[in-house]
Amino acid sequence: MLGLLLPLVIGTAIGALRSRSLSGLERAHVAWWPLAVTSLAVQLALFNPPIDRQPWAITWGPWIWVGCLLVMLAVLVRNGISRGPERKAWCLAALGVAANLAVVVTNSGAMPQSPEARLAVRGRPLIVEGAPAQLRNVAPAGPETRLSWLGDVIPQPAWMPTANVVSIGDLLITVALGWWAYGVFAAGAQAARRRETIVSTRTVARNGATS
Amino acid sequence: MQSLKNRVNPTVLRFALSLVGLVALVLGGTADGHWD
Repeated sequence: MLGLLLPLVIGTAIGALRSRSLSGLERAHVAWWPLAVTSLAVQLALFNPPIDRQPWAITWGPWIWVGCLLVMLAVLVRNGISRGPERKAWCLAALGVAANLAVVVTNSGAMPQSPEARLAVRGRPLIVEGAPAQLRNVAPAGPETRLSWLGDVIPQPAWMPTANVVSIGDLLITVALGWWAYGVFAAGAQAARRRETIVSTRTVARNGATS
Repeated sequence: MQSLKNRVNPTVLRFALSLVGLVALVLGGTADGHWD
């Protein structure tokens, strides 16, 4: 989980350091952000005790989760259709969620996960024999899995805290949002420099006119 | 919320809320099985 947030942290830090300005803060705006937070809150409630052991959650949970992913896609598309240099990053992130949605919907509402990659990262299988029934958003991939290449097949390095197996869609989302964070700082610094140039040009012109 | 808005610089508050939205998008949009 922490590995997924790393590009966002790095993008923000490099953007702020390279631009040597915090004027990017003025440009940072995520449209419909309360919807994204609500969707995450629903997922947190759904996949944790006590709800994740409820029979209704085990039956309907996968499709509630698909609904949450659709909300995330809507937020990204809404930001992607706005004007500004950052729209490409939003579109790339939307492509990532769309890829995750495609593989989840075609596999009965669960993200297929490579058992080999899981063992390499976590050292134990996803489902342990005798464990009580529980709602999960991942399922072991098998021969019947559809679009398995879009599933969780990429193991994160084991040294990474809370390392996991991620999908191509996951990587697109995290890289795109890190790129967005970098972009808002870079564009903010450019806008600040333009403003300074205009002000200094006007000052020189005014001084020239009065002398 | 209103008193918070009065106390905090609006640009910083806007950025903080955007950051919360971004973190939600990353954790909620990815599906790496971080709920298991």
